[in-house]
Amino acid sequence: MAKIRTVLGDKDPAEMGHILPHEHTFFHLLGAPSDPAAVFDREKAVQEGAAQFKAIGEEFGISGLVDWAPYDLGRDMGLMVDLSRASGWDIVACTGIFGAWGYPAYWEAQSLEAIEDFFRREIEEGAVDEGVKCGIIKVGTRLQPHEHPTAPDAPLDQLLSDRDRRVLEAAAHVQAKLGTPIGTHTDSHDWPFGNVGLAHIDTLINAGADPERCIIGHVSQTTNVGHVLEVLERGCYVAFDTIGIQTVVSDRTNAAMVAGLLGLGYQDRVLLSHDLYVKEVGRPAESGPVAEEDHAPDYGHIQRTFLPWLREAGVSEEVIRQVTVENPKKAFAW
Amino acid sequence: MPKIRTVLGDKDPADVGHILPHEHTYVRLIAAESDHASAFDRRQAVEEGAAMLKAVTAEQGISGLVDCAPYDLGRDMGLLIALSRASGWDIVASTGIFGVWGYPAYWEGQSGSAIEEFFTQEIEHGAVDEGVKCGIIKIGTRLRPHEKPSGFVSGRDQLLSDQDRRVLQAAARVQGNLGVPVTTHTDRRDWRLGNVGLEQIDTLIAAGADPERCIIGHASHTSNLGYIIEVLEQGCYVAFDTIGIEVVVSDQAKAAMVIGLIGLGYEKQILLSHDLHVKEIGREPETGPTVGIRFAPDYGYIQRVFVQWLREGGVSEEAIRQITIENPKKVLAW
Repeated sequence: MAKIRTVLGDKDPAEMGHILPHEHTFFHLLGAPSDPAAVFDREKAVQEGAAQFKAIGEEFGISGLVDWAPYDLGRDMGLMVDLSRASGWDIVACTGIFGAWGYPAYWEAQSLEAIEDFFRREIEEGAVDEGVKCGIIKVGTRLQPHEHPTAPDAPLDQLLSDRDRRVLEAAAHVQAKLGTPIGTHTDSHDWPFGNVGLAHIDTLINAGADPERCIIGHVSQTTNVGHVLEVLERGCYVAFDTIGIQTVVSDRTNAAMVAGLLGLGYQDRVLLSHDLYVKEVGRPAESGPVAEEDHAPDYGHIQRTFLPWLREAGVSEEVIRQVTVENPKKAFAW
Repeated sequence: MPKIRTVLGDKDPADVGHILPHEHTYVRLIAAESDHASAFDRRQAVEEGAAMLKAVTAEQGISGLVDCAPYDLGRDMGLLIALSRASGWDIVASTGIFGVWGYPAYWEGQSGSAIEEFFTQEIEHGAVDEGVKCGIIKIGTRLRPHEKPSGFVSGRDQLLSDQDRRVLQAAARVQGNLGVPVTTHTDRRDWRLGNVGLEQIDTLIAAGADPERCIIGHASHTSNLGYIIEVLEQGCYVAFDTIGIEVVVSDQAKAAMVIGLIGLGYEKQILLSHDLHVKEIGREPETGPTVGIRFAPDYGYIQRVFVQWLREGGVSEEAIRQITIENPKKVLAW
């Protein structure tokens, strides 16, 4: 029987409610634990996170999330277990390599087989950190400046580095053996060069992944609907998972794209999420990817603000339920 | 009174013997600890390390080392303390940022003043890891592919990234406040582009560092003796600290350079070391900077082999004592 693997154990999808498919809880960048200023009261952080979750649960009926921070984005299994217990939310942890904000040098130097072994063990045996098992493989890719194609509309093979391809292939191999879903981070910096989402899904499929168990993330960071349609044609999920982050694409634009895709009948392939977090550990960065104030105000933003736009555009309650409640349960069950 | 700050506390330099100024003990690349295959028996690792160190003491009288691994090169204070106790060696730990094999993303996003505060805390109050205090600031620099100037020999101000410059300046300011020595990693790939050692020492001095408390490391990765003399002319120490690693410059060529420099009267500014380690934690890498690199067989190699060449080159016992014993003690005391 299919299960969803949460940090508190495997669950029957039928017993689960409304899960946000791409969020974060506590995270930190590589090196943050070395900073004395990054020390924080863990118990208090869990209490504050749980209070947030419970309030959202009460208002919108949301009851869980998938945390897309693998080890190198500061996944902290102890905090997630405590937060899940204190809030009652189902939390799915991920294995994988993010690698988009500084690369974990150790894994950069390892073979495809070693990376595959790492993912498999974090899923089957649990992470070194607390022995908690992961329920999804997250893979991020981002071209380094010297790897950038020189012109837009670049061929797909120029949109991934060899390193990124290797990690995607390792993820596909693990999925072929275990069935674990894969979720990707396409980088907002890479979309202007071409259809990086298509490069992801084609690489995954060629390495043995089942598109129905793959989620191409951050398609909400491109305004190119043509690219998103090409990805959808492969049969995978696409995630509009940066709702509330309007630095690249406005929420209104994302709403128009989603309404359009739902109008074309892709309601069983679209996911919505905020890419929000409870707390970033450490000092606020002076420079860096996305500032806290550029995120959605809370985990209820989609329900409160985004869905009413879809309703105005004529999307039915049935389709909204499909997208927000049914799709995540299906995408994360294996 | 000046002291040398070891992992077991401050020591009077008069009570310290022969210290190797640029070595490692246990190293690991960023994120290696996430790998199940990185688990190791800490007690056994300390016993083996202590046996290695004690054998060298018995043969050569060496009794200490500076471990040039800051946090992001896998510094493990618990192991350093245990190794120092078990071997009787004085071990000086480093604060700083290496940043050459993957950058710790957290510190890349932080301001110069946050970095300065981090170094200060690790020196004055101790690292988050076990509260052990650091006795030297280690800074690594390396141009990333897109930062490399075009052409062969570059002018000044092209061999350090803004990030590298910011970290060197933070180190200089901390030295200005506390007097703690600064030691650097120049990258072998950058020496081919120009005099990166000179750019480092110029940056340090311009930000307030005292050249007599600065060590420009890995000068032994260039065979351009003209560059090295330019660096020495700034009044700092120059470290031939990759003795035994012949990937760029042979040990014979290094000996010839050292003999020549001592002949010209630079014996008070030269340091010798191996850049060796007891153990690298994790699986063998498949790719990356350490693959295929051979190190000195043990920490006695300089005494056993390299110093003999210096003697054959006519270097006096007094000068040998100066560069191997007196110089490290002098530069480490603050």
